[in-house]
Amino acid sequence: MVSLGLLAQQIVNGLFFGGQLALIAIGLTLIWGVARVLNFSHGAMFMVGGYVGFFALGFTGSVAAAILASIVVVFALGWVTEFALLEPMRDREEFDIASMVVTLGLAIFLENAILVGVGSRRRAFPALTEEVWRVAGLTISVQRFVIFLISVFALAALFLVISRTKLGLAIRAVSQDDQTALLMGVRPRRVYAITLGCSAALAGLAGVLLAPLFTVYPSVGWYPFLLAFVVVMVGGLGSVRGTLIAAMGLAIVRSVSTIWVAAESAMVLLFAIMIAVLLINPDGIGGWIDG
Amino acid sequence: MSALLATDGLTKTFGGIVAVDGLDIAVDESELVGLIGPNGSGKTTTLNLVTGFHAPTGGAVLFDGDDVTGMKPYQVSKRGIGRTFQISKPFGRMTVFENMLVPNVPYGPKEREERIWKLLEELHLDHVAEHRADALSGGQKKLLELARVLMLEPKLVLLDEPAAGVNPALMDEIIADIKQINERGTAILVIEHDMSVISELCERVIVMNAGRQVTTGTFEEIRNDERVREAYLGGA
Repeated sequence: MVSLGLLAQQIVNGLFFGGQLALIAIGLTLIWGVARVLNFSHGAMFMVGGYVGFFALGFTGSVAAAILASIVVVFALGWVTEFALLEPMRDREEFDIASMVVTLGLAIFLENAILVGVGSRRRAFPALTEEVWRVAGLTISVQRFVIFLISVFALAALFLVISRTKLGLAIRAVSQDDQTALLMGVRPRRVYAITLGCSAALAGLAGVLLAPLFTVYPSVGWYPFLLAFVVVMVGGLGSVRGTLIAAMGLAIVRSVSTIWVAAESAMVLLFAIMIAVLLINPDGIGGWIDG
Repeated sequence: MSALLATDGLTKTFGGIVAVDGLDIAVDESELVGLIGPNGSGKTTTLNLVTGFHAPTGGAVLFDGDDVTGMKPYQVSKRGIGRTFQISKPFGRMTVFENMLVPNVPYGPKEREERIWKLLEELHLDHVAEHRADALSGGQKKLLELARVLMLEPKLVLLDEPAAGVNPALMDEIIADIKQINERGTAILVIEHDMSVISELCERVIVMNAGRQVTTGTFEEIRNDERVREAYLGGA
């Protein structure tokens, strides 16, 4: 028998983990939905965010400056990726495949550039705070709570931009029909670049926020990328709402399942869920909820 | 009157196939012109060349005194050429009102909103403003496309088969709307297979075949033209 206290604790842990997952996965799904790129360099953007944060923190001593620097630098990296690497290939018929290969190449390039430039040593990122709250029998790490709040804030800001602003309208128009958007005077290529930038910035933000948990090293982005990939597949590639639900759902399933099984086995469970969802509905949760 | 739109020896080849072959057509300011011709005669390709979706292989497109050949679609739309599609393309997962917000227009939010409501009322879409666009009927989708393109205040609108897939009851309404838009000074070039629509709408008709203009004249004139009959029946 599982105690209710333990169950509640694992649900809270899962919720916090879900916020982190969503932060990484939303960018991945957004790039696909709007710019038709399955971005294999998303994990590398996460990694670069961690390094930029690490050095900015060392330089300025301010966590806020580290976060800001990561967002700005990785946004620029996403923007340049679209303009320099993806745009020249957009008129080709096999763009889907080509974009995967190019972004995979970019990920390998960035990882090795960091390896050559700063070495393979793991950089420890100081914890924001070691403080722990005890609320109604639950143990809450203040650091994880703050990370969760910042993630929620970043995602809420993204949703507001998409649903309420002129830019968001252009993003939605391009994601539905870029040819018609062109006729309306919208410039899809600019929208692609902004989307790549924003998605990368989310990954960069995740990279610096999670640096205290993961530490920072050249291949640190692959595991979060893999997790985000599972989330996006379950949520529905291109569906922002589906991806959000999947991130929360899978994180809570993983967290709760660790009451009975080891964390590695919980990963097996996540992949099993992914395969089951893809078998039932290849469009994932988005296929059910988005009309 | 001076020509608002003119093509000069406009040519487009796809591989070895010549889709548009040295085409010279003109549309005057405030004119309502029909563009007809058998399937594969190059009508839609001509629209794609004029709106910048295809780059011409040769020749030029002149609009409002400027050479717009090879310009990008958003540049062409900015200069005042609007277009609708054979299969209407509203943004299905947006509401009708949101669809009207997409066109990139220079005025502020208040004026924009006023214009949107005015156009929606004129085209009988105000009562479905908050409906999702993919829930509209075929005819309403055509009207929405038309309303949306009018947000850009084009000098010329290219309509690709406005009657296709439209309930006949709504067709009269669409014809009346197109006439009204034209009467306010917007030139219109309409591709249409339904000859009753062409005869009712157009002051002048351009007939295309094999990528060229066969003839042009009033509906009565072209109806009695031997060359037009040949084009449609494939006679030599």
